[in-house]
Amino acid sequence: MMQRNLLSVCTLLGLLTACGGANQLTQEQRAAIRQPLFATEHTIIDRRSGVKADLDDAVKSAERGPDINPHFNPERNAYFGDLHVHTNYSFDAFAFGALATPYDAYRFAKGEAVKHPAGFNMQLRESLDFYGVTDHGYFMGVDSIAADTSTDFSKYPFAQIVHDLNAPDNMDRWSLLDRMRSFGLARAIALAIVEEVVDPEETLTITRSAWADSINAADLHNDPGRFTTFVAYEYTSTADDNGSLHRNVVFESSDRVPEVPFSRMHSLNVEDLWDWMDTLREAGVESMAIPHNSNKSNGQMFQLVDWAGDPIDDEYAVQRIRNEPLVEITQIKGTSETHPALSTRDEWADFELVSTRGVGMGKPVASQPDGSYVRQALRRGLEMEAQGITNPYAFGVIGSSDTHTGASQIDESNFSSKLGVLSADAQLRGSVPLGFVESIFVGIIPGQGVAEVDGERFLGGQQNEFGASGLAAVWAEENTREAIYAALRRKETFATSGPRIRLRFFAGYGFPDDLLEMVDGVATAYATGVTMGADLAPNKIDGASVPPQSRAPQFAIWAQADASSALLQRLQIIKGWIDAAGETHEDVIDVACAGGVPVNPANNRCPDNGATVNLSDCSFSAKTGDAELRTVWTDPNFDASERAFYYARILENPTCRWNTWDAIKAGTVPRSDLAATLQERAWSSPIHVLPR
Amino acid sequence: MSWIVSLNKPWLHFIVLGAVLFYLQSVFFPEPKTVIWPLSEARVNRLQEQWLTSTGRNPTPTQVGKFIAAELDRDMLFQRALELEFHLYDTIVYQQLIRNMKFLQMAVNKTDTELFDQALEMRLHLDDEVVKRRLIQLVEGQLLADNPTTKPSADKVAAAFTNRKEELRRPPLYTIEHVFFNREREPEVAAIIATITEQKLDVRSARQLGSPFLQGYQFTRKTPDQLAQNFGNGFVFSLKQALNASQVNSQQWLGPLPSVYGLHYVWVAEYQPERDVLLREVEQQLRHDLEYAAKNQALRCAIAVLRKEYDVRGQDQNASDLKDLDEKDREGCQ
Repeated sequence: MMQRNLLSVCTLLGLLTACGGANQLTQEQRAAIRQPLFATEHTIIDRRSGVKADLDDAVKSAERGPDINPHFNPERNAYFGDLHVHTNYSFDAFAFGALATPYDAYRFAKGEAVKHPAGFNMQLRESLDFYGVTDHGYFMGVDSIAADTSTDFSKYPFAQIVHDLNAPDNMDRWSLLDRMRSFGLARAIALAIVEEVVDPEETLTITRSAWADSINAADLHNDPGRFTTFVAYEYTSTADDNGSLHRNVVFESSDRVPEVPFSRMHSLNVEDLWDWMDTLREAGVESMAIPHNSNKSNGQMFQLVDWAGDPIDDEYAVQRIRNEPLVEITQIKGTSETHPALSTRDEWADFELVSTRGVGMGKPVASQPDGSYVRQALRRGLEMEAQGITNPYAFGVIGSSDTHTGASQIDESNFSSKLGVLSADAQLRGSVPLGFVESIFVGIIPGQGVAEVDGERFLGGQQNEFGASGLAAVWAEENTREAIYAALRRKETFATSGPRIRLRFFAGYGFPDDLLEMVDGVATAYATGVTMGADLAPNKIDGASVPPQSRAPQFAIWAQADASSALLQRLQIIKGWIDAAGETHEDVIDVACAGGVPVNPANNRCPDNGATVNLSDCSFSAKTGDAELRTVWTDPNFDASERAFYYARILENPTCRWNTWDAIKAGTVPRSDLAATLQERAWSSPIHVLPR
Repeated sequence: MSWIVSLNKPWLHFIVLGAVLFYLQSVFFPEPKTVIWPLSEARVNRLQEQWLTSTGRNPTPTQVGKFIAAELDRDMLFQRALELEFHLYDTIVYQQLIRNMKFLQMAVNKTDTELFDQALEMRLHLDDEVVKRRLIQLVEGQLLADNPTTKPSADKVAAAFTNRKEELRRPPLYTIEHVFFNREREPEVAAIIATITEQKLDVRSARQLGSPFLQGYQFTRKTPDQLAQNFGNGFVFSLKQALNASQVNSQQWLGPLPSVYGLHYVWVAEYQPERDVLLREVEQQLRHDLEYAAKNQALRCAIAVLRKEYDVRGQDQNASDLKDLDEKDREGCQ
């Protein structure tokens, strides 16, 4: 083992020095592998016969009758889930040592313990309601086949870098170098296809099999009434500058699904993905794409131009919003709501930011905020609407984790990040000091610099910025694929940074002031207003006799704390609008404060409620803050001629961030350059108020 | 008697005597077994470090004994592979050794075959972890092929079902409705409950007397864990206690019960106690688990048998896998 490690170190040093980029692609090679290497396919598997029928029979044959939850709630329940989960079928998750299969991932979501690649158990404090495994579509399943030295595919020379990568005795931190090298496998396979060493069909055969297995796992664990699974995968495109243009594609049903997921190997142009989805939709296969990590797109995710660089037109916008009704606003690799550079008057805009672009193991490069954040995109959407173009950015929001171990990472006190073996312990996550030898070792690895803080040496790099986030939440009548997918489609969704905060958000005209004091207030709001994700039509009441305030929409906002987390501190409305001159603006308004304290009208802010955290043990006062915050709010500055969006944001009292928990558990002092605490939160999907 | 005379031949005596001596030699002076040497201290330390990294605690002496035994078994399987000359005919080994030779910059003007032969001469195959793993994998494959497992019988499934009944039990299910009182209305609770009782209000009417609750009012067939997600653990604890204290399971009011949100006056519409699972519900899972266990055990048995052909030193017999097998399994191994 030791000799092998030394060989690995020597190999890396060799690559870094003598060989100097033997692994690097030439400009021509780089351009070649960005071309479509696979022909687009629209073959649909009808699973209503065959495998699915068998599974259905198995399900029916089991005596499930007594346990089925027949409850259908017309006022809808909040269901929490994760629609961004990688397992060992993803090439990078495999490189990180992921052992979890899609089956394991679903078991984890249902509450069972599964193994982390480093050997310890991962288990949720509370099970989730729905889950979607979203392995990378390109070369799905190929890494594990290449690593299995009994397969034919493993015998290609380029497969050597992953041989037995995840063997039981190669799962410690000393395997880090092997793992980083193995990241290059996908690129090597692409190059081998370009050079006609590998027939594309060879990898597609593996992917078809992995994809079929992933679908099978989803069906096996789908349990209507109790637990919902989705057939899904990740489309992983990147811009020329390595800006992330990633999307998760989620299918409504498993009855009829494509035989092969459309991946970056088919095209890097997301418009081609939408064409593929549209074609499938015409054939009765409904799906949606959910962009994520816009924060790492270097301004590419929410541009004002299309892939070809032409200004966005109506055709593009209609196709985009048809296929992308939602966006993932938060996950481990950062929160994409907004950025202090874009929202200078939002004191909470610096929440869990990740500053670098793209993915990969190389040296991190900064991602520009402009064009990378959701709130700005909502504003850009207003501008386009004002120009007579359909709003391509009228999306709702969800959160998800992007875990690469099959297991959501949403608990600050029990966070193992997303990189498997590479983030298995506190030292590797950068929250506990490295030993001297380790710091020398780590210092030679690209992108994994050592940070000197308070006289101690810590692992630097992107991992320090990662966060224990997030969750997707929907309001649906029941916990079934049909009901939850319908909620996703109509954007009746919200996102949380981890805790199960529940958030209701309605808009309407003529809501009674005591709407939320009424026992049937929610039913009334559904009956007379619109909910999050919807458009509110202009008020029909008109005429000079009616005062402007009566014509303004009312917003009913109601949040309830997670019973296992901190109490709530403040309820906020984020408003964006476009004025007559075509300029967009935004405002952050506190609308309800904990303890019944009134909002200061001078600055629209709640006074500090004095909530504190004891950093020696992460305890916090359970008496400061409210378990519920609710209000019916009317915008005092409403102008019926202006197009506007409104969304709700709810903040918890501060609690310890994961790095503080790590330090406490290790008996070390928390690293002073990382935030010791954070304010967990939830965001509703916006309601768009249409102008008169 | 001519046949007795025919036995009186020196060459025949020589052959018979030789055979007897050869037999006696194999009995009294057997061929020494191949020795699998104990692990070095550095290797044991390394294993302990790995354990510490993955579990966060130091291994106990028993655990150390177990992973030393496992490591020695790996050495033995590797030795077996070498004796069977698997390393001479496997593509993966071939590629790996050539790669190592190229890394060592010894590939100038040499064909792959020459490089491979030279790597073997330099005994590189004995010191490469990928080669070792690959060869162990091949030996394990062969052992499993020689000791095939069968699908679990219905009897075995039934036995596993009986043994795991406790683990597979289904949790209780609650169907409840509630009247919620937020903190501000707590002083009114006693009076409102009295009204509900006196007027025998149904749940729907009673609800009008309480506060609104964001998550709604009806919770159907929920497990304790699910209810905890809605109301918190404290509420579930109180509900269980209240239910235990009452004589009836359903169609009754309980409370007020506290949660993090306030107080809840709870109508228990239905309570289904925890129950044993039905075989049909878990048969697929049990079969899968049995097949996996059978394959694992077949390999462990085969390794245990193989161990007898080697002189494995430094292995604590109490810690070896064989110790874990019960008597029936040992018979299976034979």
